[in-house]
Amino acid sequence: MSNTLKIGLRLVVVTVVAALLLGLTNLATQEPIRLQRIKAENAAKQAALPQAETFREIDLVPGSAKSGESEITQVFVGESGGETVGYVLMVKTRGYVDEVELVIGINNNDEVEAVQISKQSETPGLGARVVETAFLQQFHGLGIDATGDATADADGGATADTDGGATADADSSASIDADGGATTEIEAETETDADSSATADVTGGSTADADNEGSADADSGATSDETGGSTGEADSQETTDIDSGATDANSGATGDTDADAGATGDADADASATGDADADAGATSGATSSGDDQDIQAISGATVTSGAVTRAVNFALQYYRDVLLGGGAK
Amino acid sequence: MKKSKIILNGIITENPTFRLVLGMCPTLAVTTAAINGVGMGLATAFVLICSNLVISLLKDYIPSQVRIPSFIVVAATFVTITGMLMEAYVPTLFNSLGIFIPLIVVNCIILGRAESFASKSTPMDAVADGLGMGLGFTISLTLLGIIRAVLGSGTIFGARLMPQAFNPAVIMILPPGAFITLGLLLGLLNKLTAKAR
Repeated sequence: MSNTLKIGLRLVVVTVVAALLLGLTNLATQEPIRLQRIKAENAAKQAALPQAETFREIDLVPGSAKSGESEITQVFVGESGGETVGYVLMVKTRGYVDEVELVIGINNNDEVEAVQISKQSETPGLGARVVETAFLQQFHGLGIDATGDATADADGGATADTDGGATADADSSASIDADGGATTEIEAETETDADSSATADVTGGSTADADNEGSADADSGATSDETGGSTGEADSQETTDIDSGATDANSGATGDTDADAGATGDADADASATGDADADAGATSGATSSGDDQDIQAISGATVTSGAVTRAVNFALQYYRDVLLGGGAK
Repeated sequence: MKKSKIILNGIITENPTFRLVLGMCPTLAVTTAAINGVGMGLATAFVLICSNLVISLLKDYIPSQVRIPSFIVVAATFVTITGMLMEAYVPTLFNSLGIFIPLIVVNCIILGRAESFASKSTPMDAVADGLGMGLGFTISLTLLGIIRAVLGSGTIFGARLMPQAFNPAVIMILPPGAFITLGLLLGLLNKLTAKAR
């Protein structure tokens, strides 16, 4: 018994000395580590919104900060000379291997200033390439009016990411304020991997929804449901082939709404979606928006991670539009 | 035994990677770039030297029944200290090595040398062994990292080596590339040493 106690005590002494050494090291390094973390965070914020001199954290709006795989963890107001020059949003999303953390700067023109990847553990040579400037620079100037299409090009990077049936999603949403106060919103989603589907939701003076689905495999029929007002008329045509799809939805209620959503997709995981909308809310209102010029080219071989980053940026823009501009944040 | 002989033993005769084939997890995982190999090798060398010294000093104090947990506590302490120091002073390297820093604790080179050498040797011999093994590990990882990075991304220590027209073989910086490179190097070294004998 006494021998067992002696052995146990010696082990305790070893562990206590180890704990003391660790405590002393922690004491010596905790301040430099804290400063390094602040420095890294500030550098990322500064790179995301260079015109800001200081950053002030604001509260998140519960319930709006998470959508699917993307989550906004912190929001900062960028200020220069006491004036707001933009916002910086810290966003977490799910990459191919692990979480990817982004720092997204949005300027006063309601456009993305820069996107930084602050943390990622993606596969070197493939997913990890999303940190490359060539990819991240594409987000510069992306506005809230056309929150981006994603064109995922997996050519040359043929990997399990795409061969295994991974999908490249393209989300495009355009918000148009008509003079009459009506809002037209088009959302087009394209999923590649041989299938392409496009959905267009249009809200005009009253209500008009157009849902269209087509397959990129061949010319195929698609369904289109529209709901107008009491006197709404629905007229839908869709042409879908392996390269393109187009949907027209006309609905007359108290106004006329034209929605045009086109989706392209091919078997090489090439996807893009465009949305055009004309809104006429009974009065003299009309607006057009196209997401066509906002293509984000995915990094070759990093289709999944590129898609995740693109969706995270779109979500940040959506949060900015709905919460920060909408007055939901304090 | 002469200290220089002990050191050379760790670098060449009993090279932990190419001769003892120990510590394969970090060897295969972090050598996607040469700088990672250097960083991981030096961090392991630091832990090896410190843990070998402490274990050698404590060899008469630690009862044999609890020697393995004691060795692990000693190694874990130095690994944690290394991790804290790296995060405080070389954060870039700390971020690129990531999870593999805490995993140095379970690197079998550490426990292997503690058990087979440090617990039976004088403190100075144990330090020489830690230095030799650490340098041997660093050189091996750096060599693997150089080959994989040159062929897999056309760069060496972050600088472009191959012409722009060079199309990198991405497989070289993926896990299969690690196995292929290590296997070919082991075969080459075996052939060379067999000839020498």
